[in-house]
Amino acid sequence: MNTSLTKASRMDRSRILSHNYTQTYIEEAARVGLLTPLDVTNLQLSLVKLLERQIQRYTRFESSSVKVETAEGLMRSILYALDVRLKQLKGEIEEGVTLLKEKTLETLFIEGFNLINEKFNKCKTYFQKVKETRLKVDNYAYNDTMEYAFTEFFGFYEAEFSYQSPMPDIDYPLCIDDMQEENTDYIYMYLKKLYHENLFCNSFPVAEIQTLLDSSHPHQSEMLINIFEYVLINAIGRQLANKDLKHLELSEGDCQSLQMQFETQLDIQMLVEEAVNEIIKSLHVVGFLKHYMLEALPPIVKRIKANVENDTLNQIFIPFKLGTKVEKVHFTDGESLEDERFKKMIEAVCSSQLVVEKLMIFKENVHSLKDTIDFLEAECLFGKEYRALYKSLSLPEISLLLKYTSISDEQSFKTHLQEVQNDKSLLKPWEMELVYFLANKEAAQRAQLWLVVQNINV
Amino acid sequence: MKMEKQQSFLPQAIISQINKTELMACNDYTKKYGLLLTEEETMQILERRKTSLQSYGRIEIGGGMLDKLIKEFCDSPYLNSQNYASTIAELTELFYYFKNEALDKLSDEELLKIMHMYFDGPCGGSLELLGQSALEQMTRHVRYGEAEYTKLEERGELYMGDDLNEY
Repeated sequence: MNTSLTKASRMDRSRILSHNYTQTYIEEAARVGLLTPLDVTNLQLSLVKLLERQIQRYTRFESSSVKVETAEGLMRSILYALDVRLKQLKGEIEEGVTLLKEKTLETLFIEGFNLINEKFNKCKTYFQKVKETRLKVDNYAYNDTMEYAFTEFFGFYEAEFSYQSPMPDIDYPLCIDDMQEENTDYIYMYLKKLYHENLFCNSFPVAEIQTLLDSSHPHQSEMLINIFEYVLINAIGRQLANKDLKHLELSEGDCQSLQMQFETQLDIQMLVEEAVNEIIKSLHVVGFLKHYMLEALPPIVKRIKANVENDTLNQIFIPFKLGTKVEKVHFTDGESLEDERFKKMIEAVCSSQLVVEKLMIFKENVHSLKDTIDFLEAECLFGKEYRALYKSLSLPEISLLLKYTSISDEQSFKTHLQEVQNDKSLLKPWEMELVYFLANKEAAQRAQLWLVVQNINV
Repeated sequence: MKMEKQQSFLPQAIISQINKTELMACNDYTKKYGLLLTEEETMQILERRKTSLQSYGRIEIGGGMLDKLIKEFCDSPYLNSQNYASTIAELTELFYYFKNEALDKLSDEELLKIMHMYFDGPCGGSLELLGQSALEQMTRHVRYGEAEYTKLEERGELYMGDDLNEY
């Protein structure tokens, strides 16, 4: 029988918020009387003194005043460092009160930002690992995050001024994203998870990962999707279909078999968990990644159940569609005219009365998309003259013009056509004439155009 | 003793208090130029400082910059015993306004020196020209990251025309 008595905590942990730890901690300690009003006042005065110190350091002692927003940011940096220091205590919740009474806030702040610095260095280590395990896939958010998101952060972050420092501009979503953390704590956790996601994905051929993504959606490369989740789900599908884990490919037939398997199974969650445990065993997954994979299961199981009910399992287990990848075309613009020459060309077109002459001037002088758009926006053509110009352009040239409008598919075209016909359009004159021009084309011709529009990058 | 009401820990407002005695101590330095502040004038300057800081969304720590401003401008040929207090008050407001306009890229010392240079120079003691022309042009150059923003007059780029609305 355990005779030791645990002293009941007087402070209520649920009142202490992770994001405002120091502030809510002191308020809670004061509420239960562990800090007196005088203690709180002294802490407030120390905080103000600390803020003054940081303002002086931030302005390199060159300014006696700062903008209120700057002071607020500096206060957040101070509180974040204090939060980190106080959260480091792992014992009884009241230990923090002893710390606040025994050490000055300045000392705790310095200890806190030293801890932040250590975390920052750990972020660097994990970022290196992320780069080493990077997947060679065509997904804009993933690649942009790898290449650019962290440049300024690692170049300019200062632990002492954590909230004035640049934060990474992250687009790529994780499978499990914990928004409870902040600043370097969040970035550390993000990079750690991303590294482990990469590790798991690297167990499979990268070409198959690309095919899996392309099979999921024709525009997946521009979508904010989590690659690890797609790979994990197809791996689960392969495991349940008794296929090896060297590949990720599933067929429509496999999806139908899985549908039957799930329909006859009372406990889908248990089935999926068993499959994941087999994957973990086969791929020798241990530690953080193992827990991460298991933590990722509940929302996956929920989606599987919903898709089983609707007989749409091929929307979560992705059957491979080979040859569906549409290559994107990257457009490089031609050389633009100098301003003076462009101006003279516009004057010449405006002073001409003949459409043929206007088009000739255009063809002789304009050799870039930029100039074409500027030409159209200069409104030196009228009514059907625009359509004469469009008639002289090729399909790719028309598609490039459309990239500068909000007309990208049949639906948006029909909406704009209706607005133009009802005199409710907000389009510019050249855009309206373009709509009329397209209205005279067959739907099949327009369909070809939309395909080019959607697969060209300007 | 338990706190009956949850008290917020964060201080709600921080504007450093400069007392009038500290400011009036500048008289020891400025009296050789025939410039002295009365108690009432000192209070008016402090009030102007406070409202300017609030209007322009700034907070000031420590002793502030008023004593530096007074010491910088006290030898100006355009200050006399009649306009001394009102000019200092106006310069105080201009100072905080242009700290913002220069995006805090200028130190206190640098901005005060530039203000003094223009005030005594091309502005000929006119606070209107200083605030609406010279400093506007200078801080525009600072915002655009141009290096030699103190040499606009030398380069003939400082416009001090009659039409102050041009800028």
